[in-house]
Amino acid sequence: MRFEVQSLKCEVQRTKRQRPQPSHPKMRALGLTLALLLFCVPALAQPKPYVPAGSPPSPKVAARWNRFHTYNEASELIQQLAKLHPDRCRLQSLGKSFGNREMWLLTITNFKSGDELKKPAFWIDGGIHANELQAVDVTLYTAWYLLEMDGHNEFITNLLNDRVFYIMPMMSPDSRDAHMEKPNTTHSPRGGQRPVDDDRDGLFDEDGPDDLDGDGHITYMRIRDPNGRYKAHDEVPHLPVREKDGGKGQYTLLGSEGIDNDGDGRVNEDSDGFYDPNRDWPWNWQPEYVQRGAHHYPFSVPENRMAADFVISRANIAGGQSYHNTGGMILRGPGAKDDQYDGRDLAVMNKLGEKGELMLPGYRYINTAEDLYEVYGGANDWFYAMRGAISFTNELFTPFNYFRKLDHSAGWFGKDEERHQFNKLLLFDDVFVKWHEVDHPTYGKIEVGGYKKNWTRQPPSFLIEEELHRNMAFTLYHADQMPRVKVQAIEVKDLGDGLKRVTATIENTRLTPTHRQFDMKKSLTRPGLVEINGEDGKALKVIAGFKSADLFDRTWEEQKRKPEVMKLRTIGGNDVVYVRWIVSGAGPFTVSVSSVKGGMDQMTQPE
Amino acid sequence: MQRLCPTRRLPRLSVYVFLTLAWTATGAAAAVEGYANYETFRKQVDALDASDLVSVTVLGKTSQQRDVVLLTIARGKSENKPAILIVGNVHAPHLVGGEMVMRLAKHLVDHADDDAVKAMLDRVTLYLVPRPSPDATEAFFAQPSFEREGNARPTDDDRDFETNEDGPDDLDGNGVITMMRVEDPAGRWMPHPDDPRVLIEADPKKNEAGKYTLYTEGRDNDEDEAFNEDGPGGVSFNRNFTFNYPYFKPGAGPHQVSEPETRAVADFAFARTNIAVVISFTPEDNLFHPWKPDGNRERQRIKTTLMSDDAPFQDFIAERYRAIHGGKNAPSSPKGEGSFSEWAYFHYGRWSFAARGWWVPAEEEKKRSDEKRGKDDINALRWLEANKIDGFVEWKAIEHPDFKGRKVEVGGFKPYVLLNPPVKELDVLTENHAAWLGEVAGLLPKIQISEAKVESLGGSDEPNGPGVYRVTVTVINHGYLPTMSEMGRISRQLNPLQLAIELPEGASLVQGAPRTQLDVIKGKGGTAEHVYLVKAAKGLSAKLKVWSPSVGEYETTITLKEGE
Repeated sequence: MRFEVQSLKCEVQRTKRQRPQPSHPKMRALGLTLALLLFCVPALAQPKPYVPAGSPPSPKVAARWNRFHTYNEASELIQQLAKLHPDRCRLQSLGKSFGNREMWLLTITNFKSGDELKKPAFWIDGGIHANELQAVDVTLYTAWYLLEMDGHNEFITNLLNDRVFYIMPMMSPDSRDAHMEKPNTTHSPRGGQRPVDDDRDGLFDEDGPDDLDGDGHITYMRIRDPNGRYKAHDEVPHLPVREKDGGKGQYTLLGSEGIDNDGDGRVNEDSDGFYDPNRDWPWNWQPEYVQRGAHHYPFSVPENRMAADFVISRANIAGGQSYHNTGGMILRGPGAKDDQYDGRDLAVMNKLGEKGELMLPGYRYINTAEDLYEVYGGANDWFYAMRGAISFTNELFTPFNYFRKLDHSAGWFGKDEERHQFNKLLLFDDVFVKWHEVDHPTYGKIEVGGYKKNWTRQPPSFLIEEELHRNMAFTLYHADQMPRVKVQAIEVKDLGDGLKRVTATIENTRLTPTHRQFDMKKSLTRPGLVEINGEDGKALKVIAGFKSADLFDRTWEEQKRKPEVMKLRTIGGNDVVYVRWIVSGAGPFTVSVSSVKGGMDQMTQPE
Repeated sequence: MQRLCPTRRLPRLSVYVFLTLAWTATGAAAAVEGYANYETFRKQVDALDASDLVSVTVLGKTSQQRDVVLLTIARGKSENKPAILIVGNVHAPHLVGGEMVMRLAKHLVDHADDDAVKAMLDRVTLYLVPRPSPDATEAFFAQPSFEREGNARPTDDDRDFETNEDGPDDLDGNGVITMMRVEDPAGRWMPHPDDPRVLIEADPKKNEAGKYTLYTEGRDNDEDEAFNEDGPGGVSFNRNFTFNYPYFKPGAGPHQVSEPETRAVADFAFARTNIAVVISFTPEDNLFHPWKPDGNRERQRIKTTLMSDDAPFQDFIAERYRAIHGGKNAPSSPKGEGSFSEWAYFHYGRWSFAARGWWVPAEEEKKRSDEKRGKDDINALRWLEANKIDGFVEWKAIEHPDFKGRKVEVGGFKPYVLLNPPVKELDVLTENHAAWLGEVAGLLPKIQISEAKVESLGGSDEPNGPGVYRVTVTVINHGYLPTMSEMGRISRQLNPLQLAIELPEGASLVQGAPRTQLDVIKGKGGTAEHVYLVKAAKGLSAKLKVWSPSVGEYETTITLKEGE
């Protein structure tokens, strides 16, 4: 209220300049009252909100994007979205996780604009590596943004009319809560919470890290040692660095905070899990000795199997996006060097990926196997090789974001000195646990310190929303470029004797073909079907059917079986296919095209 | 799709499927007399359950609600001993494999008081899965009779986006699906000079002309010019494992370990760290045709050949099998793709022995010609006749609507008869396999603490005061097999040996951890050593234990004074 009075005062003063001042105190009070009323009336009439560019004007569900949602907060958010946008959003649970949490799945589309199962579908999954926190929030942001912008933005509205989004926000909810609630590093837990005997000693998860100083972070241990190899950094006193030329420093590093809990001489060798849920997918799966983190067999992680069963039930999924952190990458498969994607498929992926590099400054569009490390049994490969979809993995947050200096030699996390600068100047030294003394049962007096678990892989709060929005925008660009089939034109030529030649031009108006080359090779997705029907109710005799890629090419390929439903192996990106029939019967002719991953369309041509 | 005569090669999955959806046996319609349909099998299992030695568990249910049954044969607590997993009928038409496993169980129960059986069950636990894919096995009892490997899942075997649209048909109405030969000047097949019932491939280099094209008996139901390429079902248990998985091929399923049957067995196997050896009955035999190592390829990171270090052990056990079995001229083993027995070695890391068990015995006979082609079929016909088995349908002309105006004859070997012997053969087979099983159990590693040398290092002036002792523990493996195969070590699927010392009050370790893992110990006297430094009063005793679930355990007590 104080502020209001002051602004009123300003108003009154402004009016003073324009009009003669009321000198009488009573007049001043009257002026104040009038001004108050003037102020209230517009307030009662609700002025239009001033909206920053690209932001939903009046979201039904309030949301804040400079933080990370817990499992409960995420569940609450999506339940609200589904409740308040029932015509566009359906929420279901695919089952319960190991820790009895829901495996949420959102279906987002305009349910009134066509059969959801017949629209091209886009799959989004978040946080399969649970420590990669922002990988969940970006999916929540996407769901919220799509629903709250629908009806206010043409592109988004069209997207929901024509496509369907399947969003699985938390692929590993148990470990997300574990990261947030239990002592962990920024890198843990990467896997799930099912107990695995990592050191094969017959005990399960018996020796994980120990939070010696009880601060909720697993940091590092060091001990003062006149023969140690580490010393304090000259400028950044809390960073340990190796003494040059093998000289003697002041400290020996002892590893992550921990104790030998099970008396086998090793420290922290059997923590929660370990199995890597992103090594659990069937394409090019290899067992654990080849691929660290592989579990028993593909989809032996039940949370993945729930997701996979759903994906398998949706043959219309044409594109996919997995979210991870960190390092600023748009990754495409293959995951293993002994695998290769067809060059024609790569050409399409490259166009998408390169657009991503533009939208995500500091990110690189690269290949997992050649440019990152080998991954056997990753999700991207399965989507491509066994579901016929193009999918990317985005690794969110890049060191470029610190000072907008492009330096790929900085690695995934950035140079130590640069991170220290950022921590000091922009975060006021919020992220480091200063070295402090602690008693260790085996080593005696040691020091514990290091970066907190909310730093290194995660953006600081003020940079989170940018990361989420830019990545979402790339994903929506890809989703928009999924195939979209149309009947472009129908031409009828009378051949006499009651015979007609009907030629239809079938178009795919987007960058992505309806079928990958590999898809066609392995017959993953049903061919596109182009059907002709005649005058309503009257029988149409289809005598012969042909197809061609080129209207002026003399080589038309005949389809002898069931020519009334022509099968198209693929319709290329931004390309057309011609279908021609010889029919006996009367028009008007209706040509309809049905593509599993490209949607449907039909056109009726008057005779 | 063209077919070869069944005995020449193992039936490839895609083609053999049933037209009917009749999964339940009508009872009397066994392809070979004496084999148990599911009902009978379940009764046999329940009968075995009555024995104290046997406990029955259901590992999972198939889509048709049949049980994947596990029989555990053990004395005392079953998980506390190293175990041998025995799986039969891995290839669904190979019922003799499942029969062998059931008969082995019965043999052990009947001979429970024999010294040999007692000794074996003192050392090992036996896990038996006689019928891992019961829905697929039940095809043996369906009408019309046709060899199929797949379970009940509808699959799109020819990848034309329709499922189960073109199975075989019993055109001559005799209750069995055999072959059709269609007269065709461009055909590849011609009659054998010694016996026109047998067809062999014509060799153009010898100026031979083929006369027939071969198909499985049936119509082209979906008019796609392929015959019987996609009948009802199914995924084959023996194609659904992770090693060398045949992506997209018929019978492989949508992905590895996709089926409830496969998962039931795999999940059980992974949960049982005490399993040391896997024996399976399957045509992918590696006992008469042992796997060969490849020194170059085994250096690759992904192992696809038998490790050279494991070869001598696999070879020896295979040799013993051959000697006991006594058979000759075993048919060659098909290359496994997603097979159970190869998974057991390469991905599950266990010793893996795969037995075909029985095959049509070959006999030297006066040959009328020098024709080598088709000799298996000729031999099979001779054997069927000698054993008075009605196993061959004579070629007979029929009218075939898809081949108007052409001569089509239906005939050929009946399904199952060349894979599964008359049950009278099974007694000898059971005796042999039981004997070999006993030998294998006896070859498992045997660990002992052979020595625990205690040396006093001094440390206290008081006569009975605490001193420091060096305890050098030697663990020895008296068994034939090492404590783990090389593939087991590489695959990290087994728990290594652990050694632990348990000290009483007042004693403590000067240095080292109380529990430690040991490296693999070779068989026949291989040893491993570990040293403890203990501070204790004189005369205190300590316990030493060495163990691994797949090897066994050994405990001993030592006294901390010089000279122990």
